[in-house]
Amino acid sequence: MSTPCEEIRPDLEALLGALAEGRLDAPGAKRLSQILKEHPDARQFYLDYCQMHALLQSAHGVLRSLENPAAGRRRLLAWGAAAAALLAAAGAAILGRGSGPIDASVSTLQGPVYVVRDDRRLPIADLHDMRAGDRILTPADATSEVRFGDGSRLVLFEKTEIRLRDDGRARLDLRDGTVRCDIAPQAAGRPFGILTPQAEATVLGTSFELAASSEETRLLVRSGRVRLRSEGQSIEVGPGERGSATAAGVVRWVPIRDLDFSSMSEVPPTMETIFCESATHLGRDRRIETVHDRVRFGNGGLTFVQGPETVAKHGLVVLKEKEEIGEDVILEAVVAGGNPWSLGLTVSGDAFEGYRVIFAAMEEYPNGVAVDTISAYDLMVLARDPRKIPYDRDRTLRVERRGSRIRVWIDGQTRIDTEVTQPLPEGRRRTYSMSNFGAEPLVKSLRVWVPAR
Amino acid sequence: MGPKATRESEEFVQLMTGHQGRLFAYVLSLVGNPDAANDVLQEVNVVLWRDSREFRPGSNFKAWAFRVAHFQVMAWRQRQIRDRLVFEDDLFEALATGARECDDLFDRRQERLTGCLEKLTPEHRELVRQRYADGTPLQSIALERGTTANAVMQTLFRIRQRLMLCVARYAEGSA
Repeated sequence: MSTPCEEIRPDLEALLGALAEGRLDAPGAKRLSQILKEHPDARQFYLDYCQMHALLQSAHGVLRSLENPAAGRRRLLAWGAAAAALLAAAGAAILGRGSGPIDASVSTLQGPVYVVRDDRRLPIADLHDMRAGDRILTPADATSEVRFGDGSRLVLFEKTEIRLRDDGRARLDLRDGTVRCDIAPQAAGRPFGILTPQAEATVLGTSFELAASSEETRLLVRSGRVRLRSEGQSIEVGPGERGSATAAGVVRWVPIRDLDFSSMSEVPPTMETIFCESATHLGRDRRIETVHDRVRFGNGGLTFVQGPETVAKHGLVVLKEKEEIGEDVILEAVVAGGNPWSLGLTVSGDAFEGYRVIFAAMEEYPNGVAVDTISAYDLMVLARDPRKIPYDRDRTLRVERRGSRIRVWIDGQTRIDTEVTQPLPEGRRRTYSMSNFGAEPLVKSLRVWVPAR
Repeated sequence: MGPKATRESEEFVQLMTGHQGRLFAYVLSLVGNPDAANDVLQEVNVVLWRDSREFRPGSNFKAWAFRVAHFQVMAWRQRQIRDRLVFEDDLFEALATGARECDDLFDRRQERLTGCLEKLTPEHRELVRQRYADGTPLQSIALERGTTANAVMQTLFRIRQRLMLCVARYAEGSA
């Protein structure tokens, strides 16, 4: 697409905005004509612009399928009366064709599940078949399952919406939410495709999780390989790897650590434990020491040791990676439910120097989630989500740093999305850590990904 | 009308409806006004329907329809007072050539539009839906949003520009 030069851009913006709305007056038309005569690049832009206006005019169906379901009555905008009359006379049979059947079935695993067909919500008990265009919605606290005739199986997690397709390009659209996919081997040349708002995932037979929102698509491959395409870029994501697609492009994240603490009896050799007493950990005289008795294994995971006071002083216990891994990273930890707990996951340094994300399923700071840093010998809170974290069941905590952006999820739900600008010490090691200051958590696992180089 | 004639009529209507978007784009490029473009397109449709018996199934419908559209735009220009024409003759011819070339990308861009619409923010998508699917007047949208028609017009321009960039990236990337 050509871009008009700077000097005429403001004029062109106003003129074309008015033109599409039928508000171009005589002086405006004269000025537009002059610009198009003198600037061939503006001429191409004008033609592309007219075409886009026409594309949108003819996109009722698409636009209606994207509409907010709560919106009120809709009024169809028809093309010219002659075309409408012709359609009414002879085209009804063509337009009235139903959507093709799909060899699939849907069932609930937990809570309700809805199928929307032709703007009507149908109970799944009344469904005798599935059709292209059917939308399947899984509300909060519900999980559903879609099984295809070829043996492929999809689990739709809460707040997820998919739409079935049969156009040869993809089998479904993932509009929002997360699906776990176990895809049966597909015929050569006919991969199982899933479209999201940003990307296209192409699968030949594999198991993976795909999550989509209006701004990002996230992929985690369990087995097999998935091709993720977006904005003209394409990556192939393998077992254990992650892929993400945004307007900025696609990124492949490769796993560098997959630590199952339930099967360990000592700290892995790539990590070390350091400690600083609570009385001094915010002071310039903080003394950080390497310790060997502040982390224990057992009961299905790893826990930190914070006392009793007569045996071990209270303080900040940090289990850190020894190696430098860089600034961008994804950390994902699973914490066992049952008792109150608090856990820090730190990126861009250890818990004393990096950005800490503190998760507290307890009535103490931050009683929810916070991004902070103590690198300048003071607690600086950079972002906070005060919603409580129930400790009734296991929780999956995820932190991602990419550039200056830090995002935090609990069980796949975004809790914090923030830009960090607070400078960190220059000489720090670009590593990551887990830390504990409050009630001790039982951490079952930790996985770490970094962008593929 | 026998079954064969009915089938051919249906196929013809299908061709006509399938080409409405690209014909509108072509005509709009040449007349520079959406209302006038809709009027001309109606006339194009009447001519196409009237002369449908001349069209042989399997021949190039698009080329024929574009020829008809070009003649109808010329006829419309002759009916206009010279001063009211947006484009003079030399520019008109250059635009006609460019618009036909631009049409080569129509299908690929149309194919990508859904994905690009889904990339818009929910607010912008709703604005596009109001404007194009509901046909809500600019002034009503502005009132509802507590802003001016000019501001809505400007926002719509930027959304179209963003969509142009998005479909072009996809279309050219997959070429």
